[in-house]
Amino acid sequence: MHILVCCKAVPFAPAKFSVSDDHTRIVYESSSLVLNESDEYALDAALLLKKKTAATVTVVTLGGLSSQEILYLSLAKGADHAVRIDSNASSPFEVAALLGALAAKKGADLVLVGVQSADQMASLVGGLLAASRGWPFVFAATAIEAAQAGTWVNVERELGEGRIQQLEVELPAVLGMQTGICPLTYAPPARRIKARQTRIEVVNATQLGFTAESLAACRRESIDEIMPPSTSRAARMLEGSADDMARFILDRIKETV
Amino acid sequence: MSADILVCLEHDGKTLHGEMAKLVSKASELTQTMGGRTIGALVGEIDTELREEAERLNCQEIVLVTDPALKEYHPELYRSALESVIAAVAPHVVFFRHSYTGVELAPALAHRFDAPIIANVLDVEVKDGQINALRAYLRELCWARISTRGPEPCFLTIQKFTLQHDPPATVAPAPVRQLEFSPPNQIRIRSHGIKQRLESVDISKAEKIVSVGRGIKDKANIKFVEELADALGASLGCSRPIVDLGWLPVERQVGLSGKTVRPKVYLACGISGESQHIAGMKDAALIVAINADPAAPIFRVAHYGVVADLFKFLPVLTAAARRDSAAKG
Repeated sequence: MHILVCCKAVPFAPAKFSVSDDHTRIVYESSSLVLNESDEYALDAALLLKKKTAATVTVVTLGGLSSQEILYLSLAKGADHAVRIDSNASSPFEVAALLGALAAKKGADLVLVGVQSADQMASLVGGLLAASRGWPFVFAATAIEAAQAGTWVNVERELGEGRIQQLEVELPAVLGMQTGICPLTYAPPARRIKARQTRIEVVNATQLGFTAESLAACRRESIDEIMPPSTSRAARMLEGSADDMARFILDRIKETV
Repeated sequence: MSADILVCLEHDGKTLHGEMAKLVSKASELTQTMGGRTIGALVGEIDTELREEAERLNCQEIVLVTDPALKEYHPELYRSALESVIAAVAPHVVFFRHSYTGVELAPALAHRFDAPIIANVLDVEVKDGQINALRAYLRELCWARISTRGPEPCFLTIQKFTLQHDPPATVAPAPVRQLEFSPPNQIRIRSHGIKQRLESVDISKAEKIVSVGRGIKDKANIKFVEELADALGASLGCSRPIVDLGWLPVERQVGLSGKTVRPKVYLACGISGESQHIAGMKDAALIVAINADPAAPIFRVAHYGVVADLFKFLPVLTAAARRDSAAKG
């Protein structure tokens, strides 16, 4: 089984936000990019499956050279191959189209994504990727088990409010992996240094069959305006000594209960 | 061009999800200005009670697909049923809740109709027939207005906490149009049933909840919050990262993937307030947030906020609560 894990490099602590001149993305002033948390769980779920089934794990990210750091981390954690799609696409439609084309090109049986990226917070890429290939998609998967000679997988997934659904899913398929589903593996520094010697395959949109125009045609939205979050429902901030604030809180609790 | 909004009505087989009235109410506000209708899509094995609940939602019409095959949620069957409803109604906009099933179904349908989709929406406006949605980015540090292009309908998955549209008290039942269910040609997902996770505590009925988030930094520090909960006679809750780290069991988790709680008092200690968490607690009568970060989004939903070092402030609050209960005897 060939598992493709889609990992995103996300800004750790951005200082400033602005909209790109073409209104296609939000630009962050941030020095460091880190592996998106829920994608790391997707990667670890793939590595667990690799141990059980001798699967091959390829990790892919999309972005500029600075996003390559998370690929070295993924290799150090145990991924077999790493690919970077050299593109600044950020619309979920564009990203899904590029990842879907790569998944087909690599002959992936199972594509894993995290439930949500910390920067876009849309949870759309997995579903759109699956739809672009006509593959099944399950969101918020918590466990995967290979079944039926590698042509189906057993999947446990969350439905919210403590409801759990057991599914069998035919491959190729896309799963959105929930966070907290397994302990995260640690990549020791020595392995991380060694991983940097691994060749990262770099592909561009043209090699995946897209022109600038055909890719832009996938896009369905533009960002008109960005703003700080509304404070219309802001809390009344308490001040004074800790004792005074504690007294105030306990009085409000007494009034309410 | 249509001016109708279709609201996909989420339910658990027995009752509608609690946010559906607000989604319908917001949709009605928009369709009134556009001169269109608000239509509810009800898909499942629908009994009379559930159907009547939907009829009373203030929609102009309910489009119903009911079939024994739809008794439990199934990604492919529900998608297929909703596709037939969307094709029959041809709306301008489709509302989903930004839930597990909403996030699973909406992108596939948007792709099917070659249509735009905006996810995790906080609010929506219509200007000259154009959809304009507000949503958050980067751990909610930034908000943006998004406009769409492409064929109708525009799909939106709606995050619940900013939509405060209360439905009218009583409305005449909406007429129901029933569509035949035709299953998809190819089934690539088999469901082996939905179960409720077994739990030893139920915080959803608690009157007071003291909840802990990532700001507590270490498992050993959970005791600060446990002691406060004990002093206040409150239940202990937490945000998702605390469960992910294995520091507290999942039955104590508040939020979209955990419990929705509606206590009288909710004390959020070291919880940043991502929308998944807010969704599960925003209806508490009194919300007090204690956090070291003055920019934490939790302060946007709390009634009162304290910016403080948890390890200094919580013991003070605990001691004061103990003195109060001792004085009461």
